[in-house]
Amino acid sequence: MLGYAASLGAAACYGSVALVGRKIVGDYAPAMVATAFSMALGTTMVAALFFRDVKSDLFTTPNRAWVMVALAGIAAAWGISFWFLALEEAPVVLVAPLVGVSPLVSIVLTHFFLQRLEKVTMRTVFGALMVVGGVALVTLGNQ
Amino acid sequence: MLGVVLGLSAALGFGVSAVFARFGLQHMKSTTGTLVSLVVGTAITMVLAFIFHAEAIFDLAGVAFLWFTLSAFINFPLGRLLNYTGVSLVGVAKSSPIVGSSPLFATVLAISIGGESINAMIAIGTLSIIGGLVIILSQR
Repeated sequence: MLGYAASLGAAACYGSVALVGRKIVGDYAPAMVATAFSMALGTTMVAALFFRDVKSDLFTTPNRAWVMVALAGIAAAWGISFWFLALEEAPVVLVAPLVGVSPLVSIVLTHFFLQRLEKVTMRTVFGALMVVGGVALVTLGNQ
Repeated sequence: MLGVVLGLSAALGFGVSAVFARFGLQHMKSTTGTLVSLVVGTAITMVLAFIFHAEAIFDLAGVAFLWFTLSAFINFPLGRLLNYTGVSLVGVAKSSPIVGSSPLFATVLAISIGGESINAMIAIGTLSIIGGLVIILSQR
């Protein structure tokens, strides 16, 4: 239950920040500049809040785990960068639904690479398809 | 066509990021994973921002940093940390579609606070998202 609540909370945060981002990009800075500075400030906040957790994990966490979360950061930066590049080549009405299929990518990769950790059920796949389809419709309806 | 390829590449990046996070978060706290991924991602995006938008950076107004701070607080100590916590507790396959429903929240806020209007496509899309979430969340 807590995991689901956390995921919903993340969705609410990302949805809220989209409105703030629209204000920033409209009035103050290009999207990539806004993202870079937002990430820098966010890193500072997270470091200030949770540096003790890092200290406690520092000597107990295997090296490959550090590599994995670093790769997660690189992949997220790749996603953000290609998102902005896509918006320079195509309208939001096309790009946003395409980027919105990322949960399906996660599910496919989970099925092939995370079988030891979790099982992908047909219910999850069907639910994800409904969410992705709904996101596409909402995005199109907002244009 | 290039826009389609770039958009799908972005989706690939975000999808892959969640899977890497799942691997790493088996052995560390969500807070630690959030910070490490942020440090790496920030370094990359900051370099790219300076490469492509150096002039805009040096022209930034002071008030912009207040907005950056608000965005940062919602996005990272809250958003990414909750995201990684969800991944860690329920797994990538269930958490990714839930997190991916964020446009629904953006739309609700835009309608309720921003005064934007709802149309049939938004209504149907909203129902589809909620239906998908119910299906995923009701699993045991």
